[in-house]
Amino acid sequence: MNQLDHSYFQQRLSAYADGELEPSARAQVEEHLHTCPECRNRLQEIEKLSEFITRESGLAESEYWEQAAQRIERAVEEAQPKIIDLKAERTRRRTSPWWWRAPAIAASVLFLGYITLNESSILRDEVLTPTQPSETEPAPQLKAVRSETDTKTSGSGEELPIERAITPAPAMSEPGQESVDKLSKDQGVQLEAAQVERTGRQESGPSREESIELNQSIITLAEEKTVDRSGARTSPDLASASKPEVVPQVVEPEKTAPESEQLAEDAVLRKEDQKYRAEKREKGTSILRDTPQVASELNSVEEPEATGLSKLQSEKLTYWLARRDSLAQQAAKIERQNLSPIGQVLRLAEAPAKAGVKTALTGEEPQQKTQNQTEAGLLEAWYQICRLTSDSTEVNRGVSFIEKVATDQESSNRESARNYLKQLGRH
Amino acid sequence: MNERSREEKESAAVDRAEDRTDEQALVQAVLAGDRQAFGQLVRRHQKRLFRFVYGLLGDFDQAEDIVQEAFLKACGALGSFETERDFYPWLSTIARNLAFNLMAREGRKESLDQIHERGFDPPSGDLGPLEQLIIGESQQRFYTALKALPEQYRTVFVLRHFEEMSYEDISAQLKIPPGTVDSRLYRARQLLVTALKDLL
Repeated sequence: MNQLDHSYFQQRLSAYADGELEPSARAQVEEHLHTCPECRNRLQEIEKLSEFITRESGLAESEYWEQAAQRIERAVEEAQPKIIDLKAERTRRRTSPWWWRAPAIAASVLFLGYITLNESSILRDEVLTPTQPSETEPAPQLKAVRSETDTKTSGSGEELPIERAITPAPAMSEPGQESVDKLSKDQGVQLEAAQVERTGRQESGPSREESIELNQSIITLAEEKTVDRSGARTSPDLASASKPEVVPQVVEPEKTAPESEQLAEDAVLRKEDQKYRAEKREKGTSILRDTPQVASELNSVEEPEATGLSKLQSEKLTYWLARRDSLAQQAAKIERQNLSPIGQVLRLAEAPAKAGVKTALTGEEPQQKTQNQTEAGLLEAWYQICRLTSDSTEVNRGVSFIEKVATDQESSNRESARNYLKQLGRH
Repeated sequence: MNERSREEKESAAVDRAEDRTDEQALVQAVLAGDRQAFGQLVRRHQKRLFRFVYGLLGDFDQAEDIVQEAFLKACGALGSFETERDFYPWLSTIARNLAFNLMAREGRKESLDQIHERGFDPPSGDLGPLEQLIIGESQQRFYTALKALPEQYRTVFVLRHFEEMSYEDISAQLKIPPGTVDSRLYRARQLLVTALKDLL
């Protein structure tokens, strides 16, 4: 019996027992079961385990339940003024209070403050090259900001994913400003200087043409400066190939959080994020140790033995495995940051001016761009590994990854992934 | 035998339909301001919900908090609940998202490398406050082994066994390919079979 076939069928037994296989795959497993006593035993064990769980997993009757129910009832009573009234809730959604938008506002202020700071440093250090402003087009930055604002308010208070919520918005309010001050203090962002700069600019009131000219200059200069900065700051190049596996979906009821609770939650998040960063600095350990799925899974796979390969093929395989690991490490790093909402706001504060300005002008997140590039690199690495290796586990993982990208509606690498699948004979 | 089985199924279907009607009435009553009706909803679902959330988190206190929070949020958003649907799946979705938010904030996924290095050896220690809800050694060992599973495996396992979700739904929920759901479930089961072999 072919060992690879056996291992393949063994891994299908779980889905077979759950009735989750396609008819053709099911028939293949059944055929294999006729000839393989080991797989028959495994299947029997899985079935026994399912029966055991049905029998043994139910929790016992206890006075605990009544106590817990009473506690929940009390909590509902205490929260009574804040809940249930659907009409009030709907009205509230239409007119989200400032505290509900506080994180987005805070991010906007950070963003604008940071850009201004960078503008000022650039203006001090560099000689600007004048460019011709457009006579007919409105200022691109203003246009982008307006578009973002429309998007944000169109959902009638729907909470945005944090990566969307941290896009620039023109409106600022005092509470949002407070949050920003706390953040900047924590992270050493010199917001105060930025505010002074901004105030100065507001007073002088730059014309539309000046704004365009300035933005274009900033991009040119920021592009030159990014090379130097990339090592010192959280670089947008540390992109993720895929989203965090467990993407928390904040459900609708989340919105009923009262003001103080919301602020307290923000404070906890900030503290957690700082703690994590401090621990990371202190330990100096590999970020892969506690990063999400993608990296741990990719790196948990033992390197396959490249049996039956020529020397050149072996070298190629080694190269692609190393490349995959390196890209996975990059992906994992950014994924870890993605897990913490406040981390994303802070990362924005650390991002180079180029990133912010380009986002405003093009509406495209530089982060997204580099994520796509990393994903494209991983795709190629997996494709090459699948071609070269005879290890079925590696092949399955590779194909799973490529399939995931091929079915991801948001991925710009979907077409490439499909082509790879086609070339691998998988459709 | 078949006839009896058919009758049992029909009887169960009738029970479910009655339950659902009861539940719709309870939800309507809560919306009309009847707090006691909400208490009934809590008592009806808290045990199952707790088992599920505990299964995901493996921590009694956190599970307790999430269950309470889920009921609170459900109460607050009950107006948006479509009463013709079952209440538990909706409630469970709220709890699941709260639990996932917590897990993501804590970023506490155990590296699978560690499992490969040291093998799977559930500790024999006590389960803390969960002890009061457990009867017998089999159950004790099951929950100890479940708690010791790597989080990535345990999540898939719990969604399948406690919430009876299909591979497709788990895949969509966790944003992982169905093939990964399959392989994780297989590995979770293998680890549990190893730990509980003498009880099966």
